[in-house]
Amino acid sequence: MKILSVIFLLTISLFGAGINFEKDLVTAKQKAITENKKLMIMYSTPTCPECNYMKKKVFKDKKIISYTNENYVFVIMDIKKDKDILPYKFIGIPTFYFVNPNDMKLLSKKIGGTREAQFLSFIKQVK
Amino acid sequence: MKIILIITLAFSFLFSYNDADLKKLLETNICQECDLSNANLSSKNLENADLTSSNLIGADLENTNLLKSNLWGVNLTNANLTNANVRASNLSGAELINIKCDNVIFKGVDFSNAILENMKCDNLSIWSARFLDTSFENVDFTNAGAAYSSFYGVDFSGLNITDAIFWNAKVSSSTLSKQQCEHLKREEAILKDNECE
Repeated sequence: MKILSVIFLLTISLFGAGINFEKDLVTAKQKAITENKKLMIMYSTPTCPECNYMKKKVFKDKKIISYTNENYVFVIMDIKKDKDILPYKFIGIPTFYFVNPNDMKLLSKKIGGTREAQFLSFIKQVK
Repeated sequence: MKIILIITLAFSFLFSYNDADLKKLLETNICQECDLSNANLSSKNLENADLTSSNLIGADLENTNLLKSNLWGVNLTNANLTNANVRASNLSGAELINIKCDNVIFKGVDFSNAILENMKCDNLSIWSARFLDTSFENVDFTNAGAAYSSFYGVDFSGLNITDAIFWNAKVSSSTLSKQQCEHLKREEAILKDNECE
């Protein structure tokens, strides 16, 4: 039984792990401060095709999963459901905000969907 | 010299917009079958405008907001659409020939039966756009974002789709080269009843 559990956990860690999305901004901010990571906020809606391309394709990329989990705390905000608590103005979706969680100062911003390589390159150069 | 000046003025008068039409558009946001050729509409907010069948030849629409506009049957030959937001508009039956289109947003636009010619745009955004029986000649969609778009009855021979994102795009009853078909398969596009020659 123990062996089966170990195999199951190994399988999950090798193939099933994705980006660790946080459920809301408050939790994400606190976690980012505690873990000394940057905050990544994505503005989205469930019906936005560019957002869905990012969620269903780009965020499944192993390098992006690994780099994001190691360096960021990631939260997705729905511009309709969360309209009263959006911390930044936007002109279109998806928009990605890269933030210092301590003072919520914007470090960088990216508008629109991109391929895996471009997205990884962008999130790596945010200081 | 005077004769040249008079001829130039006469020609510019002949090929420029109708003042009353421009006024009507700016006051009401509706201007069907209007002559807006060479009009300066740059940075204007024309959201939800109705420009059905209007002549927009040579019009300057740089940075213009045309969100959800009705542009059915418009003629945009030689128009400047750089940085324009045309998202969710109706461009059915429109002519887009020699247009300037860097950074233009065509997300969710309906291009059914439209004619696209001599188009090369940097950072082209055609996510979720619809191309039904659309005609392409010397059109470059290199690196364009075209995921979730749909193409039906399209001849791809006049269309360059190198490195364009076609994830989850639907392409059916169309004619493509083998190379284009392979690119679409790699992109996980949904292909049905196409000819891959």
